[in-house]
Amino acid sequence: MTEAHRRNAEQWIDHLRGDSGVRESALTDLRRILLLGLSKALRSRNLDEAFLEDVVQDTLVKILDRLDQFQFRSKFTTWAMTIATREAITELRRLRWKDVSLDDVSDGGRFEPPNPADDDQPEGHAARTELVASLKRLVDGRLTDKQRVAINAELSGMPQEEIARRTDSNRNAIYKLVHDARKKLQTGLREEGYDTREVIQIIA
Amino acid sequence: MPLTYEQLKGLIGFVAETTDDEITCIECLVGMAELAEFQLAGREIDDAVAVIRDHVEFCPECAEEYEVLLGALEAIGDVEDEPAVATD
Repeated sequence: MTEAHRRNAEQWIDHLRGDSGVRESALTDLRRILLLGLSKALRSRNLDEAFLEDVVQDTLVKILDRLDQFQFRSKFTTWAMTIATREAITELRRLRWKDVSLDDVSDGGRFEPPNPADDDQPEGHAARTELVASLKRLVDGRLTDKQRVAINAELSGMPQEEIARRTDSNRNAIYKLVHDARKKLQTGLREEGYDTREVIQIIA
Repeated sequence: MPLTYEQLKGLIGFVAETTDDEITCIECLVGMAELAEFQLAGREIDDAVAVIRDHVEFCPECAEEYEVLLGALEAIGDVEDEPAVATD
């Protein structure tokens, strides 16, 4: 790979906003840097070059759209790489989950506790059973359908981005939906006399 | 389908560690570059960056992205000049 021309953060911004020649040169250098970083960091996933090229192309469009949002709190190339990384991982998640529906992983929002027969630790069994019963009461009684579906999907490993894609929402909104659900459950458990640390010990 | 005990443990852990002042994944993305530079330079992080670190430790999706980011930054090395310093 040809060495990218070195710039400081101000120069990156100026050049990416500059006249066509200067801008093209900066884009070419940034493309090289992002491709190098992603291809090495994602080497173990055996991705083809075209996938990475597409990711970097989409990333460059986003970076140009967001130049005003760069706050000079890091190097420009570090900031650009965070966008490239999220773009790549988001696309990989989309491909991995593309054939899985929300119904497949959410069980319609039904909260079904583990089978007690699977609890092979006799010690603390009664306390765990009691905690699980409390949790089920709270999930069934305090959470909305949307919250139950999102939590079940998350527990099945579906990323929030993918839950959002299937519910015409966005990752931020899903994070808030689930955060509110976690708060309700936390409050409910406290009202039932459970201390935060205690519940972790009971289930450990 | 019933949850496994591992899933139940994950849910209870998330519930137990929930706080009012959590940031979202979008807010995390804004500060992730700064966190990465602190970590790669071995510098002690300040309170503002600690909030980002806490989110990364809590959110498996941001954790995955952060791990890839660190790998990418290590791969490219030092490719950027320091900001110009005013001399007057």
